[in-house]
Amino acid sequence: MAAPDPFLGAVLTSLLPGDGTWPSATSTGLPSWFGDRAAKMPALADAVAWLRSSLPANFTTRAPAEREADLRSCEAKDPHRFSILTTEAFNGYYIDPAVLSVIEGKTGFPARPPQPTGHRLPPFDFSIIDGRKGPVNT
Amino acid sequence: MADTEVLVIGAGASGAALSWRLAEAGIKVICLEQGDWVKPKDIPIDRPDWEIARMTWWSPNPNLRRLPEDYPVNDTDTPIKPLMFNGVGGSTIMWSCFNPRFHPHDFKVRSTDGVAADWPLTYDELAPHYELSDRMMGVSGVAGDRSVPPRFERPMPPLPIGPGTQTVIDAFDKLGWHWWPGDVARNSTAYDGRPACNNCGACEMGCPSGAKGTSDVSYWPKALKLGAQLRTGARVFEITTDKAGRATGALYYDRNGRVQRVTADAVAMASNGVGTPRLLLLSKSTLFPDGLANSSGLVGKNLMHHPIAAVSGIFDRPFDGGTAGAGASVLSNQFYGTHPGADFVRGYMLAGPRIHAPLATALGAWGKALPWGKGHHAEYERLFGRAGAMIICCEDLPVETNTVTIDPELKDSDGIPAPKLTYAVDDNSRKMIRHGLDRSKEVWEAAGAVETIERPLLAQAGFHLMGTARMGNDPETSVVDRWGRAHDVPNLFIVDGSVFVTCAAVNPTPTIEALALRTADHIIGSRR
Repeated sequence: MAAPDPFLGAVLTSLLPGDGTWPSATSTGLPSWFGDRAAKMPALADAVAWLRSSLPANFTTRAPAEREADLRSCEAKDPHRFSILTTEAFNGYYIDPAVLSVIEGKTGFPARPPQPTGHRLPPFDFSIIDGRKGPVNT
Repeated sequence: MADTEVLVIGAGASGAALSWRLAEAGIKVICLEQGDWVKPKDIPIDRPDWEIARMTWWSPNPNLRRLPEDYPVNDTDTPIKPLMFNGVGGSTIMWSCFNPRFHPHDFKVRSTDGVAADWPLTYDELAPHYELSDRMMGVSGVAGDRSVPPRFERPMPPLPIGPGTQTVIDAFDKLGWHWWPGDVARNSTAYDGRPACNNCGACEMGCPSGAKGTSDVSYWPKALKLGAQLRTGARVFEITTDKAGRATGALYYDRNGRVQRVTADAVAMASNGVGTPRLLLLSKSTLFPDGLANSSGLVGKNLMHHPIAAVSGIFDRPFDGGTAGAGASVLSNQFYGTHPGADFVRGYMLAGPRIHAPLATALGAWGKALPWGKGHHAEYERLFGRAGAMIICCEDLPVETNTVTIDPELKDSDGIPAPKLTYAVDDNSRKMIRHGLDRSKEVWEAAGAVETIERPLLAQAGFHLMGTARMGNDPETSVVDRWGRAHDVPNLFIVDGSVFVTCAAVNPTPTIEALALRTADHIIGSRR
């Protein structure tokens, strides 16, 4: 696991700030996940390097509104490269257990993969097709 | 003496069905499959990053998945990307297992609508093989739908429906439109030694429990028990022929890259609507300079997909978040087939609702890119658990310029030239899609949605690969006859979706299987 990178932390928190019960990116495992991902994914590493060279040197210490403006400027310059960053940020954020727990609390969608548990549903209710049923071969 | 009586190329839905039926009749079968068996542990459906896997290394798109056994497909000239799986079970591994049949009029669109061509067979001729396919795969559903011919009861009762599906049903009722529970090839109860489905809602990733009727758990165990041989890691690059123009077998690369040969009395192609024309076009010889079975020039032409569109309905209340949309969908045939007054011929099926998972929602699956930064979470909460998608499955018409050809440069990992798809959505389909989008919005409005989002054409939806070696009575206008036998090569059969003359507006797998079983019965009958 890569050590958390303050620059990445600042970028990711700007992309995914905390909001109510939603954790900010830096409150989740996203920064280290993102760093690991960039180490294995050349297109992401390239996008991170591009962002690093495009943003002001004091980006990490700037106010949130300034950071957002900086990032929007980069996005306007190269939307494709920027979309690699946002896609991977969303990828890491929405598989994080802390985030999935929030989703479960808000919607009931269970914070676990589809298997092995699946979902319990009531059996099919045949009464919903009463009066609709046509001929059946016997 | 040949190594086998029938050599089958491909172990997916059609190859499995054919192999089983032939083996049951005591015919010696060898099947070559370039992929491998998929073990339950191979399916990344129980991992925290299952959604990422589904969109990348376990995607149904071979160009994204890039497993060693996959071949690349040049898809730069098609808005619909080809989806398939290479392994035992073929594309059924990643199939949503929705299992509707063609309607009788789907077999005679030339006669009824003056377009395309009629099939050289009828629904009634195929019906017994549809029934057999239902029993073999294990279909959950209920007979009595008045929009289709009367049928026997399905092997299992319908799957449960969730709250989102009930909302859609209520909307259809409000509009006075047809609906019926969809037939699905997954077990609502234990069936044929396989367990009941636990409603995980992620069928497209593969089914580790075996509740989904994929060909590797339905047909293949039975076929192997009957003596059929299945060779995995066998990548065919040529169908061989003799001087008389008969197929003699195939050449393939084994797992170690060594060339191997299998000889056979007959060869059956079961490699899907892209893989089959690819192999036929690659199997050139002095007798077949344009590719095998291609005197009509139609091998690789008339590629059909089902153009798929969707409309998302957004609600201001929970829709189906808690159960992850795991319930079965309903379908509507309200606009199936040609409709008086429409500005297009033929029609479409509506099916829904489809529900997207957490990450897919963030990445824009509902048709709307989510903002980053402040406002992201509010928009996420507005969509996740509060939306459903209505799917519009359009009948595509065959067009000769929609093709599978051999790419001049792209090759698979064994150096075998890869296919290239060239495809455009035609004007008829565009009008049909427009109609379907408008009708789907009516459904959502009737259901009480506060917003709808159109997705006029889904790119990652090219699972249905059809028409590239079509069936017919005339050798000048078709590649195979009504039994799937190549007009040019009397002991070469094609049993996959390539033989479709037209594609109806339904998922093709039950029809593919029924045709393969029918061809098998013809081979068995001819042998006696």
